[in-house]
Amino acid sequence: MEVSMISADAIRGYVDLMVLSLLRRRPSYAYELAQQIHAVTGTEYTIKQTTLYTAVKRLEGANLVTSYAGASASGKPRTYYQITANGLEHLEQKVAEWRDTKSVVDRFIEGAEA
Amino acid sequence: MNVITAYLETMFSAYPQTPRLLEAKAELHAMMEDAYTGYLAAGLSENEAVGRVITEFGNLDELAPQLGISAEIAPGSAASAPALSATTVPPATDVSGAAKRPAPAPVTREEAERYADVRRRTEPRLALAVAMFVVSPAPLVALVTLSSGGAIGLDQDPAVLIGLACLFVVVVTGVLMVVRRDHELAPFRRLAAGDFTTVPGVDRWAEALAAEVATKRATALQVAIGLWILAASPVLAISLLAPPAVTNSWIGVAVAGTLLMVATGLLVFIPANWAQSVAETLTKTDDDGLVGTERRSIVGVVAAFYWPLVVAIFLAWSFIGSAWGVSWVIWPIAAVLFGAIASGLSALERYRAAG
Repeated sequence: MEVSMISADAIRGYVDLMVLSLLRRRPSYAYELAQQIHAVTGTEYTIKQTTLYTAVKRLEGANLVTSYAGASASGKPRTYYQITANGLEHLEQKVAEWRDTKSVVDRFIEGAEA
Repeated sequence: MNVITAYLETMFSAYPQTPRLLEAKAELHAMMEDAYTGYLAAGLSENEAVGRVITEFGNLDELAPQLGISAEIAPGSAASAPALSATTVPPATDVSGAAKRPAPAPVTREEAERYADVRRRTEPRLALAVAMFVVSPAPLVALVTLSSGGAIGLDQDPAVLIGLACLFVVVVTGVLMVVRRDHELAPFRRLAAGDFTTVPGVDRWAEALAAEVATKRATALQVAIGLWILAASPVLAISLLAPPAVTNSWIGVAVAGTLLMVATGLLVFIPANWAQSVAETLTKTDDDGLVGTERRSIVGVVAAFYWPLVVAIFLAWSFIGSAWGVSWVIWPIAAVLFGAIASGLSALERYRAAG
């Protein structure tokens, strides 16, 4: 199957899910998150910087992540993000919701391809 | 690297430099810088690295809900809003709410048909209620003048009492009918308020509906206006033709006749007007500077305000001035005035329709 580019609109609703999944492993900063996302998605999807920044700020506003001031190896200041207990709970819910969504949509897609 | 800084400055220059905005700019700058260094380390040339970083920057519109700059963003960017609001987490701030109020839901054909049906069913009830408001003082006026003229064996006080009792019973019944009709129309309140998006198919259907019964409506209107103009005749006839003694006793009955003719006109016209009124509601033909209700069955709306007002003036004058013998005069005047207003308004409507 040929690799197709995923449109920004199609995936936007799931950026929060992707960011929370990554932050569940360890606290991170925006550029690192972008790199990690890129490492997983490869050429199929490149996240825009504004999209990612909007997502972490939105999560922070909803109290699903918190931020703290850190520094890079070279001493450059950096904002780190850390998942909260609320965030973990929210992630769990959203993962379950995604599985249901995927299963429901797949049933239609299989119908469309049959 | 300077290119990236200049790019960010340009992107943000359109917006007020709030602390949140500066913070966003600083963090995005750090991200871009990291990405640039990363691409250089991966072996890209400076130009290629800058190009990649700027390609991956994205769109500032996305930040609007977080930064409170949605008001400053051009309306053209609204297209990106639905995707944003579909995200899994509510936005950090609610500043986005005011700027992009979603368009009201379109009116469906089914909804329009149900609305038209309820209007057709309930319009006679409205007509009856308005007619009842108009005739409500008739027994009072007739009884009071008959008793003061000595035509019947009844003192003025019991005559006033009986007449007032009739008036209130009739008015209360009319009010109850209007309230019940309002209740039935409650599900369609957003239609009456114009809080919907018109749909071409429904527009045409409503106009066809109005056209179907237009002839009937025109006839009803002519009959009604004829009645309203002739309404003055009982009072005029008895004042001019009968001897004074008879006039004094029977003028009230003539006034009652006048009111009855006005009420009959309303009873004929209002039920025939429903389709026109439905069409005007559904096609929102109030874009000519007139308020919606003003155009919607103008005569009916005027009648609904006019007659209760006249009743109020009549009662106030009669009670405060203790003027039961004279105050009936307000009714023929009101009737003639109403005939003039109604004719004038429908002439205006025809003129508008022709223009």
